[in-house]
Amino acid sequence: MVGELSTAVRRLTRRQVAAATAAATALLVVAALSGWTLLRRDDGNTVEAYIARSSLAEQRELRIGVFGDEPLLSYRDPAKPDSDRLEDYSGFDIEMARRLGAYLGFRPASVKLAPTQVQNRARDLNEGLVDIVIANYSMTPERELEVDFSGPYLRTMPEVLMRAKDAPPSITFQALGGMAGRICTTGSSTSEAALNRKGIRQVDGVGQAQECVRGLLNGKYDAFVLDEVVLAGFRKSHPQLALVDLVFDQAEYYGIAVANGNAELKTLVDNFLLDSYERGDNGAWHQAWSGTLGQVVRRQQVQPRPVVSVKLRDYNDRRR
Amino acid sequence: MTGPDRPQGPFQVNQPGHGDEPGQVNDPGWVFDAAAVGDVEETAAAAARARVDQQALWSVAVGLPAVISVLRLWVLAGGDLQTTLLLVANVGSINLVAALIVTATWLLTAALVAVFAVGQLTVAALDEHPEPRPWRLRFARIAAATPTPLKVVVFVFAALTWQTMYLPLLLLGACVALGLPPMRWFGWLAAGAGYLALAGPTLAQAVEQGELVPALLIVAPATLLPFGVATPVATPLAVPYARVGQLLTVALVAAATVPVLEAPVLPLSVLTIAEGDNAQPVSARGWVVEVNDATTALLHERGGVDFVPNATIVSRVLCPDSSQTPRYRLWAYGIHIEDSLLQGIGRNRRPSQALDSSCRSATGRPAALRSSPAGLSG
Repeated sequence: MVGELSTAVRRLTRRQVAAATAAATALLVVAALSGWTLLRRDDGNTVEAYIARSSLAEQRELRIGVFGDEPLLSYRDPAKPDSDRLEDYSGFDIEMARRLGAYLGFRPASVKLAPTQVQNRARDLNEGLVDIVIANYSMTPERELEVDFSGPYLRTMPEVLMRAKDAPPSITFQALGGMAGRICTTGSSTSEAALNRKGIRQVDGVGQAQECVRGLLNGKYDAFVLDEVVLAGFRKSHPQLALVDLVFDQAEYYGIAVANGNAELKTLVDNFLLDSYERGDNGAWHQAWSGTLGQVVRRQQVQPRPVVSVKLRDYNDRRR
Repeated sequence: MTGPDRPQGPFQVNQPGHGDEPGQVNDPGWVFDAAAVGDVEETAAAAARARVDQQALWSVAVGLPAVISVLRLWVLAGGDLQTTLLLVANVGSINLVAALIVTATWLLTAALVAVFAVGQLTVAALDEHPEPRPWRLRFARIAAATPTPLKVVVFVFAALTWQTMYLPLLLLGACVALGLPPMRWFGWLAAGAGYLALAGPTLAQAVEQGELVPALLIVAPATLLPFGVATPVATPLAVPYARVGQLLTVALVAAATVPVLEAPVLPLSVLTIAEGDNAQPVSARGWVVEVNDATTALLHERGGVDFVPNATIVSRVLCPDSSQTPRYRLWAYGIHIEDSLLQGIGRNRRPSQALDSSCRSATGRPAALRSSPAGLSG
């Protein structure tokens, strides 16, 4: 039988052999691709599967640590100082929190906001007081040791807020040094660290940015050094203040932080940012930005590309 | 049919040793050649067998969808008899058939396309093997007997219902089953350029994202065509090719039947339930089997039926099930490569709202309903 077959095959023309080989290859390719598609096992890398595996699985509420005193970024209604509800807050970080909550399966009413302070962010996360922190948290190597960052989700530069009548168009660290003792920033911030590195140590590091603004307005301080996105909001709500360009080329990258070692939640937040990035103008970031900070920040801003180690699949991937 | 006790037909054949001379009947006016009579009997038997085959085919064509639909209800009910009966009592036959058409048309057309393609490739062997052995060259016989317009209709349905990522395979199948006009090198070049212009952007996306399978699906079928894949396999090789091709087709169709059987018959819903004004609402995910004046019967995704009092239901949303989560982030002309042309056109016409957050919350909180205090039995 085999002998007959091989004799018959030897009589075929080269073209016939090529056609038969192509047909056999086609059969193999179709069988391999279809078989692989039908029989492959679920890799478990879906948003649903990660939510089910994460610390959120049994939670009815998502607790997010935010600031409450930064207009257009993260601002709580002053008439409701004890509120933890999304609708009593406004700003870019709040809009990101709302969309992140929806991505993780929480309705707006189930997203609870907890005011935090610069120096308490890592502690709040690691003690389990909040699940996530979205509070102009610059991603630095030192902080990576305390918390896990997803991001970056915002790029900004340190700038200076001054009274409009005293404000030059731009200012250097050398000129800032001349104001030593009358400079304010938030304690433990990267701006404070930058000032210290430049030899300016007589700086008031306060707990909340609002204290610096009050100090500027009442003459206690001459300069408030912090990230542009934070200062732009204060500038908008206080027209007597002016934003001054600080001659400094080190950008800050904000991240969304989760407790150290919470790998599932970090992956979920990574993928939320990636989803937003890939959707461009329809993404969460762009929608949050255009309704808030986008109205006042001078520099052209787009969402920075987030770093993602595990890409998750999601039903929404079918929609663009 | 050659034994001595077989029923005699209208023709009395003189068997050797029974008449005066071999090969003659007793009545000299009726002279027949035994071999010729054998042929007539063979033809009659073949015709009878073909009639039975056709009746069986129609019985299967009508009965199989009904059987598959009931099997699907069984699977949906988690194999529990009482739940299956509840589903049977509440799911209409039209719903069942419609659900089957929506979820299984692609499989039926895929099976037919495979039959036509393998059959057409092995059709050369039909002349050499005319004897009707039931399964040898079966696909070739079907392919040869099916009129071209019917094949075209099957290919059109396939083009509409297959995931767009598999359309290059369908193109290959169509070239094989319907044949290609003879082309010289510039014809191939023009066809290749046209195909690249059509599929190139998606191929580039797939390569950029490192997705091997979609890239292969675009490249492999088109590459095989110029090597003569669309010409029937030479006669000596056709029989072994048919054997392997038929076996693989049956195996793949059987494997593909499993997800079709598992596909739901009812829409997946998430109910938000609050017992009392101050109670924390809980989510329950599953299929609503029945709604009456007092209760809503919910078949949970993980099995078990709850009869939820209507007054406690705060909201109900439709959710996709996990099998609909796509694997790729690739689009071709605004259509996701895991959507069919029909789905893609529909989605572009009426873009769906973003996934409701309840769909996710219920996935992550499966125990919510079970742990609720009272009123909901599992």
